[in-house]
Amino acid sequence: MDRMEEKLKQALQRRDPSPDFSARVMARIAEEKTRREQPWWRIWFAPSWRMAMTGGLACLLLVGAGVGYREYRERQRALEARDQILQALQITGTQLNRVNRMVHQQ
Amino acid sequence: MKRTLIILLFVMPLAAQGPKLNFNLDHLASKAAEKVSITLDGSLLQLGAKFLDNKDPDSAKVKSLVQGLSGIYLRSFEFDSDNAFSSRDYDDIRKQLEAPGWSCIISVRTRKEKGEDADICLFQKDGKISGLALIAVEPRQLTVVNILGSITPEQFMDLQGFAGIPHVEGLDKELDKKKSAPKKKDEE
Repeated sequence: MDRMEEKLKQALQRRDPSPDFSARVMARIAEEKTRREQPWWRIWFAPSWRMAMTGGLACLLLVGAGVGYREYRERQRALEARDQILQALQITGTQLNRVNRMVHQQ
Repeated sequence: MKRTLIILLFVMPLAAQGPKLNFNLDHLASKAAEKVSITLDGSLLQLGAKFLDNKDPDSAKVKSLVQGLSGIYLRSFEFDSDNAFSSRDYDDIRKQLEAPGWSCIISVRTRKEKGEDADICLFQKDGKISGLALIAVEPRQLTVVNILGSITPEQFMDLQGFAGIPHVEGLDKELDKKKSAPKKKDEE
């Protein structure tokens, strides 16, 4: 037997597993079982999902606030325009009345 | 090239003529004690009309009137003293009312005696009224109104008493009289 063969024999020699091997395997099986039994919504609490959710929610809030502000501004502009319409009609009416008086006085 | 430019110079003002008046009275704003400046184009008018209550009969009238309009331009100045402005300030506007399409149903000239002048003119195209102009001059007040769209002074009478629009007593009879015999500057 040469040196090479000796090394190979040593490497392929049968060895007993460590004493905690079976305990570790059982623990792993239990862990896998618990994971499978978890309700579907638990996925939302995974760190990666939490990050994505927070980002998405922030985006939604921003878009919602933007749309809301635009609508508010549009409403303000419309109310301002309505007031101006009424003011313009009132001034025009007053002036028509005045012209009418002038015509009658002549 | 030179000839084209000259022709363009003559043609452009004609093309610009219509019910819309160009008035630049900004120089009076600094002298005025009170001023009102209203510029409402078609889109703003329609936007504002959306907030006029349909259930209220008076608001509904205003709304239907506004729906036929495409612009309201108003400048009104009130001064602390007499002669704060001269006829030169609004002569430019009056000249625009001499353009084809405009006919003044009322023109009053008492500026020399009482300091008051007034013009109510309508712009007509294809037999339809598409603009109204009002220039009212008092010793301490100048008001210029230009309303674009289908409007008549009679429509204002329909709105009397609403939103501070006063009762215009007897104007309808006066307008009927004037319209039956339209004549420019007939009150001079």
